[in-house]
Amino acid sequence: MYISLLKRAFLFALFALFGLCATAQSNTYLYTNIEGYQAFLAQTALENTSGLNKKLQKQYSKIIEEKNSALIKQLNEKGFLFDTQAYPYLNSILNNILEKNSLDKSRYHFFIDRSAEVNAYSYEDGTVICDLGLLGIIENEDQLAMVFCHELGHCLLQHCNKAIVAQLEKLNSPEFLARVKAIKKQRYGVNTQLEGLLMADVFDRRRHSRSQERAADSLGMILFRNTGYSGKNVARLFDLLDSAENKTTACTIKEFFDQEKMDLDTGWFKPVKQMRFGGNEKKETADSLKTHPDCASRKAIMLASFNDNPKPGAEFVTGNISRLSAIKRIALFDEAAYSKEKDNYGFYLYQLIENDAIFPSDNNIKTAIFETLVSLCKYQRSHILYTVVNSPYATDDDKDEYAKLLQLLDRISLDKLIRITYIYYNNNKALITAPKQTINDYNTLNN
Amino acid sequence: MALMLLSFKGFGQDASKAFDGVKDITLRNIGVIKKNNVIEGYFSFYEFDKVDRKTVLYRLNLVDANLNDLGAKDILGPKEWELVSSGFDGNNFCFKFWDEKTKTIELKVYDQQAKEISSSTIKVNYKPTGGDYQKYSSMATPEINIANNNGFVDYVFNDPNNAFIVSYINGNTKKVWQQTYEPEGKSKVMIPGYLNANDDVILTGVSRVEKGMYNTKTDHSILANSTADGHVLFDMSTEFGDNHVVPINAIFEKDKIVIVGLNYKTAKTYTTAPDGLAFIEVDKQGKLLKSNFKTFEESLGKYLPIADHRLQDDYYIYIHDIVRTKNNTNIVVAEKFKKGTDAGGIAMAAFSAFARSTAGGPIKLQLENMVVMEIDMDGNVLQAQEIPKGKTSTGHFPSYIGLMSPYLLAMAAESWGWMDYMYTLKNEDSSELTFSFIDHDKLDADAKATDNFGQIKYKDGKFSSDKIPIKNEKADLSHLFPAKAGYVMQFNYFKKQKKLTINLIKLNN
Repeated sequence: MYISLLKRAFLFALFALFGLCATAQSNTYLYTNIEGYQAFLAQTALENTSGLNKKLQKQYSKIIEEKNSALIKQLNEKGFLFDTQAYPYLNSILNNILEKNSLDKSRYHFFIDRSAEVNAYSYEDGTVICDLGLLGIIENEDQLAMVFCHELGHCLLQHCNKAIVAQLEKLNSPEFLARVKAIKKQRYGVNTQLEGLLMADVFDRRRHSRSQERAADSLGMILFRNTGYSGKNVARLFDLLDSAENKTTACTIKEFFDQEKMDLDTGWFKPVKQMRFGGNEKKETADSLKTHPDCASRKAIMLASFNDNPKPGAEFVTGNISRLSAIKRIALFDEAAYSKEKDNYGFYLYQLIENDAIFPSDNNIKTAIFETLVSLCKYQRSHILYTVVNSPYATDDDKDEYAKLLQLLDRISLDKLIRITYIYYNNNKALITAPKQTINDYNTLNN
Repeated sequence: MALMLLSFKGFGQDASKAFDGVKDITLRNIGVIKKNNVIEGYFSFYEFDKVDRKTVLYRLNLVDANLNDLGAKDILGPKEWELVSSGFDGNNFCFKFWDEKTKTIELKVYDQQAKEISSSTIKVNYKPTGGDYQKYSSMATPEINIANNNGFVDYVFNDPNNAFIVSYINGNTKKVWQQTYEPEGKSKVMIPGYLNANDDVILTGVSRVEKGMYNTKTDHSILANSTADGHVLFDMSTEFGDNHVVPINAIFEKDKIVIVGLNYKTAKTYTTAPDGLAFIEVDKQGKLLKSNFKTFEESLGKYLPIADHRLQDDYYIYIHDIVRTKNNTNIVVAEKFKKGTDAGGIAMAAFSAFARSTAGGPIKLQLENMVVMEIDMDGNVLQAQEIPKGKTSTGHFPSYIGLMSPYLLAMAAESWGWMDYMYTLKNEDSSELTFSFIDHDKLDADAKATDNFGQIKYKDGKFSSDKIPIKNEKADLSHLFPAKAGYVMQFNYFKKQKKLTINLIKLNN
């Protein structure tokens, strides 16, 4: 508890230090050049298929069209962030890398995915995407720059494109088709053999994917060396990625209940014994199914590279710690807002509880928690809670506070949920500025 | 067999799952994994590949009660194989397979690494007309019973009139035994019912109907087998003077066993209404220590107007289950009914695989409210409540049994799945008990009457109830499945979109 309070105080001080008042952001999710981007995607697809035979061209185009449609859909459905702080800052980091490496900026696009996943990814067309969740673990600008260099490495080496073409060529090869035909002709064991063929292909692709990750790291380091960033701390990125699954929480669910003086039913937090049917995969199988090499081995290679040949430079080039802190805060708020837009109220409540611990006097957070509790009561009363809250899952990680919240929402009765909402409202009504409709709903619930 | 792809694999963590592009693929079986009254998960069992002329490679997928993927296992088996039920004893899984061709039941125990660690095979001598498993299982409960976190108990008819086999299989100790129970004297029918088990003893309630075409006299007894090797520890009659006790539940206490049951003042327990409840205490050798018989007039009469086993206006109550609470009281769940001849009624087969018969005489039962009671170990009713339920009717009874007593008709109605009570479930620590039933009523005053799923919950000493419509109003087809305590699982099929969704619906009580 004490450690947690210290942690909270530290996080609060960190954000307060840089003069960040906790107010709502005027974020925008509108991409102004969708038509231009669509034309670019179409043109890139055309260029990428020029060397393929007609059959492969058709199959390749179908895959790319599906991917492009999903991307445009996400753009149209506010899936990416185009605000006035985070987007220009991160875009400037990417542009700086492109400039320092004399790469044609018009061939690349950069988006911020509003997902809370700790990830970054790229497509065959040169689109580089950073998830908001990644910003939560980043300590310095140089680490972010290294991630972008890695993604640019994938683009320059045409990994996506080559993987799709290689896969299509394999599936259309006379040898593969003859093998499938021979299996299908057999009377017995057809599905087993087809599954074996499929698994062999999956292992093959995953192995290839791991070698591509190493290649992207290597090229990423070359690109990075051309920038003004220091190589001193970038290998730590892998530690941060490795520990991303055990994200530090600002507040446990129990602490939140204690803080609000809400009655706790011990049954809500009773751990669930994890059941299994089938042990962990053999190490060689599990390793073969990984798409990425271990963080530890990647870190060792990067450390060795920067130790043998140090890369002097700065931790920040286009921004500073204050600007990074500002966008980390935006990420916290916008990730949560995105969960709400996606109707994931269980995860939204978890994110709000965490944000409330960091910004304890924020009336927007208090209001959002109250509104979410009222919504959860309404969904539960209508027997459709399953539409906005994921099912609980058993976990060995006793620090997984989201799992604990899901378990609580799974076990709590409607009466108790209404009671909690009532207590929360009375504790925080001075800060809650909920719309009239929410207050009406709240009054209806209490009647 | 069902003709839809219903593999649970890859359910992930979402309560609501959508399967797009559902195609016609044969699924062998789908079912619940239980630990007695606790839902632990679900299995789906389908034919994956033909290995040779006689052998099939089956794939068994398991998910937990929250629909999270637990894993899969490929199993070789005969062509005509069915997975009829499954249990989890806290450590291992047990699956009960039925081979239609050889009329063989096989119990297989798998550990949590999906490794087969024990098995037991029984050739069934009993050959009902038609011979399929549905007919067989309508006589012998297909459920696997769990022996206090340590092994599985199953019953198989050897000879439906005079003998049955108790099977025990334990994955941890590797103990496997089968014991045939064949008491002296012939009977018309003999039915075993699991009462309880621990590391020392397995208790089975045995009901027998005496031979003779018009003879309806019954004998009830409790069979105690040693868990270690199956030898009979005791076999005690539950007839005590003029009290004839039908055991429903057994509870292990420090040096004794408490048996809770229904008490009758006649040996015709299948044709008359019970007089009240019985609480029998015996030692570990089956020696009677104490008995307590309390009539419903004495106990329930304080809460409901009862005379001659009936409520006012010729209503009876039919007791479906008696369950022990965490606080050492007993919850009795019952249903109000009376004999009727009116036409109409609903065709409610949301859960039941049995279709209601339409051919028959004019007699049917009119089913009304559910009744729940909390009773202490001396038979005193601590609280009793009627849970409102729409008036419904059973199907018409065949004319040859229509003139029988209301209580016998209720018993027949229950065995055919005609009554509205469905099942009893609890959570892991028994702090929540739930009793589910079917209702046909208006959920709102200004709404149309719908077919509903109702749930009564006992928690913290209080009863509460809630209902939801069985059919999702947007779906073309909805079907309910038992779920963890406090929930029900709803399958919805959307014809136009060729989409199947599975929702875990939380009840509000």
